[in-house]
Amino acid sequence: MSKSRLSFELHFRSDEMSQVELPIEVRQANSALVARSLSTQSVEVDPGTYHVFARLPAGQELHSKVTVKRKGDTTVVLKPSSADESPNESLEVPFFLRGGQRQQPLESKLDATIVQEDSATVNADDDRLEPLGIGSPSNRIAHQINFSGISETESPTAVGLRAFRGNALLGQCQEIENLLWMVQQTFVSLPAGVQFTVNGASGVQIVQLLQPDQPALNLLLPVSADSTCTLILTRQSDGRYSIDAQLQHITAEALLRYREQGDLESAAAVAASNALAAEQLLYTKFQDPIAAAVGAYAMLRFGELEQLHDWTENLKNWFPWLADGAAIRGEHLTRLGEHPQALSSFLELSSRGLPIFSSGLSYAINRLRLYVEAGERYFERDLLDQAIVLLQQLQQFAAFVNFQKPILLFTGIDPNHPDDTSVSHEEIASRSPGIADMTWYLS
Amino acid sequence: MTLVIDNRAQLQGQPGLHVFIAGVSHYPHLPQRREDADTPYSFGMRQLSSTSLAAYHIYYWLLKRQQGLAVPLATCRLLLSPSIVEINVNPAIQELRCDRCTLDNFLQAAKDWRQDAGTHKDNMTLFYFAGHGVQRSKDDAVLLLEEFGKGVGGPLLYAVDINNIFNGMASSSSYPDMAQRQVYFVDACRNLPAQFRNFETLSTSQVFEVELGGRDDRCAPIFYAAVPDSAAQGLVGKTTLFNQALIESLDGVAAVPGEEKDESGQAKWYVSGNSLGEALESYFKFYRQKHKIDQDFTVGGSIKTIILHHLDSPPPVNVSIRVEPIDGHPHTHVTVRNSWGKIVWNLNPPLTPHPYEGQLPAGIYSIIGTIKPPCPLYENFKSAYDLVKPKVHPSRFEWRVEVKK
Repeated sequence: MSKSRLSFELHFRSDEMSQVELPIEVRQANSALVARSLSTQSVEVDPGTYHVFARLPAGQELHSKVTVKRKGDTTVVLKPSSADESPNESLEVPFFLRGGQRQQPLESKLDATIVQEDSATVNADDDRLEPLGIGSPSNRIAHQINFSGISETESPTAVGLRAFRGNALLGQCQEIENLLWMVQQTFVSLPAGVQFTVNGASGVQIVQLLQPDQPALNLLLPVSADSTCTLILTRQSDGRYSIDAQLQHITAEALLRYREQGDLESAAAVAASNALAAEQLLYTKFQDPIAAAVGAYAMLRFGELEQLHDWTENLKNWFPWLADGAAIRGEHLTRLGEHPQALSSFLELSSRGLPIFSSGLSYAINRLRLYVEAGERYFERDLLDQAIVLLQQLQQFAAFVNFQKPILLFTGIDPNHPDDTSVSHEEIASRSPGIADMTWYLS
Repeated sequence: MTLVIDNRAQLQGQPGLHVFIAGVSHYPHLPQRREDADTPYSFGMRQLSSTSLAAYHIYYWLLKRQQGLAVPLATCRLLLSPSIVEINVNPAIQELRCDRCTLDNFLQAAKDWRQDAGTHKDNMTLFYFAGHGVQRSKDDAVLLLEEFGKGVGGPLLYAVDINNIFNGMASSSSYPDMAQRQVYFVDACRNLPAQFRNFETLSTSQVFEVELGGRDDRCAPIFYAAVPDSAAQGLVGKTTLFNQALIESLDGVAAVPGEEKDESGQAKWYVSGNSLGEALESYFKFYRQKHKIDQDFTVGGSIKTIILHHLDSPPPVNVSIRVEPIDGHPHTHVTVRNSWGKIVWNLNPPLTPHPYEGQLPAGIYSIIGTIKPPCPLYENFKSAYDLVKPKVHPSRFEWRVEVKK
C-alpha cells in the first residue's frame, strides 16, 4: 500500500513556542505506536486514522486525531486546549516549558518528621518513616517549609544581584563593577518574581543572588558571544527567592526541562533534533556553543555516542573559555576507551574554570576519581598529580552545589571560596557598586 | 545460600537476566535502640526495619513476573540482613535462609554475578541495594553493609562504592562479552556526614579492581532513591518509598503502549527505563506532599532504551467522571467511547454516584456529555481523545464534563 506523509504544525500564540521542536507520538486507535518524530519532521504512514500526541515539559498535552487518505500529504495542527492556554502570550515559554515545576529553595533541608519506634511489631495502618542513612541535614541550615504553599514569612527586605567574571577554580573570579551585564529594558514582572535578559559574552560569568539570612546563590550564566539568556528570580512558598536561567535556544531549553521533569523519552527525542545538531549550532555564522553543550550532554546521558562524531573535539577547541567543552570531550573519550586523551581533556578544566552545567562537574569528578584510582598502570605520574589537585578543587565546589538543577548553582558570598554562610542585611547594603538592588522589582 | 535462583542449565548459554539483590536492616554494631548513644563509628545511624523487606519484595516480584521480563531470569543472588520486625511481618524472609549481607558475602556474590553477566553480551543485569547509605562527596553513593560501625579498620571498611561496582561491570579485556543492558537501583540515603570532614581520605572496600576498558556503550541507568546530600525514607515494617514506587511502576503504573500488538490487535504495553523514570518522578512529587519530606530520585549512568517488563494486557486505570457545574449533573448523559468510536460506558443522568468511578483498560478514549432533555442553560460537551494511562496522584484518571454555557 502506498504511504502518505504526515507533517505537523504547532499553533501557539507566540512565535517562540511555535518554533520549538516538540517530540511527537503517532498512534493507531489500538494505542499501538506507529512512529516517534519531532514536530519539524514528517512521517510516512499507511492510509488510516491516527492519534497524534505531544507533551510539553510543563506537563500539558496536545492531541489531534487525523484521517490520512491514500497518497495524500496531511498536516496535523497541534495546539493547546482552551483549558491549557497560557494566560499571557509573553509568558508562553515559561508557562509551557517550566509551568508547575517544583520550586525548592537551594537550602531546603527539612527537619524530617521521623518517628522510629523500637517495637518488634508493626501496625498495618501505621505509616512511620525511617531514614536510610543519617536522615537529618548534614551541614546545612534547616528550614521550616510551609507546605500549604502560602508563605507565612515576609519577603526579604533587600534582594540584590551582582555578577562576576573569571575562573573560580583558580581563585580568579572578580566582580563586574557595573550593571551592563543586564539588559534593563527587558525587565518583565512575573506572578511571583521577575525576569530579564542577560547580555551575551564569552568567558565564564556568574550571577550572584543576595538575600538576608540566606547563603549567597551563585549561578553560572549560560551565555556566549552570540547567545543571551533570561534570568528568572522566583519567590518561593517560604518567602525566599530562587534564581534560574532560561536559555535563548528554545529547543535546548525544552530539552533541559524535559530532563528536569523526568520525561526521559521526550528528552531523548528532542536531543536528536535538527535544531540541536552541530551543523546548526557550530558550523554556521552564529554559533551557539551553549545549546551545543546541552545537546552533547543529552547524547552522553542517552548513550548516543555515534551521534557525537568528532564535533565534541571542535566544541572544546573552538571555545577555549567553555569548561563544558572540556568536560564533554573528556566524557566522550572515556566512553570510547581513549583514557589518556580523556584525562588530558578533563585537566583543561583547571584553566577554563567551572562548567556551566552541573552534568559537566559530575562527569569530571567521577572520571578524575576513576583515573586517580586506576593509577600509574594507565597514566603518567605528573598527569595523576594534576588530576588529584583538580579533583580536590572540583570537590570543594561540589560540596555546595545543588545537583538537582541542570545549570550549575552553588553557595558562597565569594565565588572563589564556596561555603554556606548566611549573608546579613548589612553585608548586602555595604557591598557596592556592582550590586543591582532588585527589591523594587520584587515588591 | 546466596544463589537463590539458578536457571542456567535450562537456558543452556542463551542470554538471561542476572540479578544481585542486597538488603540490610540489622546492623549489629550500630546502636540497637533509637535512644541509645552514638558510638564513635555510628555517625547518627540506627537500625532499620524496612530495607530487607524491600529487597525481598524485588526478589518476589521477579519470581512472580519472570514471564514478562525482557530476557529469561537466569540467576538471582540474594543477601538479606533482616530485623526482628521484618521477620515478624514476613517470616518468609527467614525461611529463604539466604546469606547475610556481610562484606565477604557481598564481595563473593558480586564476583560471581559479574562472572555470569560476562558470559553473553545480550545478557541483562539487575542490581538492587537497600540499606544505609552515605556520601563522601556530593557525587558518589556509598552502600553500608552489615558490619558497618564495627570500629575495625577505616570507617568505611564495611562499605562499598556504587561507582566502583558500575565501573567494574564495563566491558574489558577480562570481560569482553559483558552484558550490555544493565540496570541499577540504589535505595539508600546520600548524606554527607559532618564527621567525614575529619577524615582525610575515606576508602571503601573495593568490590572490583579498577580496569580501564575500551568502548563503553552499555545501556546502564542507575536509579538513585535520593539526590546528592539528601535522605531516602523507609516505611517501618513495610518497605521503602522507593521500592513501593518501583514495584507499582513495574506492575503497570509506568507502562506505555509500544509498537507490537497482541493476538487481539491491541497494543502491547511495557515498562522501559525511560517510562520508569517518568513514573518515579510522579511518585516522589506525591510522596513529598503526603509525607512532608524532601526525597527525590535521580538517574545516572547511561540511559539508552531498555525494556524492563512486558505486561500481559493493558494495565487497568481507575477513572472518575465529574460533571461541572454541579447544576448540570441531573441533565447530563455521559458516554465514553474508545478510539474506534465504540461506546464502552453509557451512563444515564444523573451520574450515580457522582463523581462516577470505575475502571477501564488503558487506551485511547473520549468522553461526551449530552444534555437530556436539551436545556438552554447548558451545552453538550465533547472532549479530545486522551491516552488514558495509570496515574500516581491523583490515583485515578479524572474527566471533567463541562456543560456550562
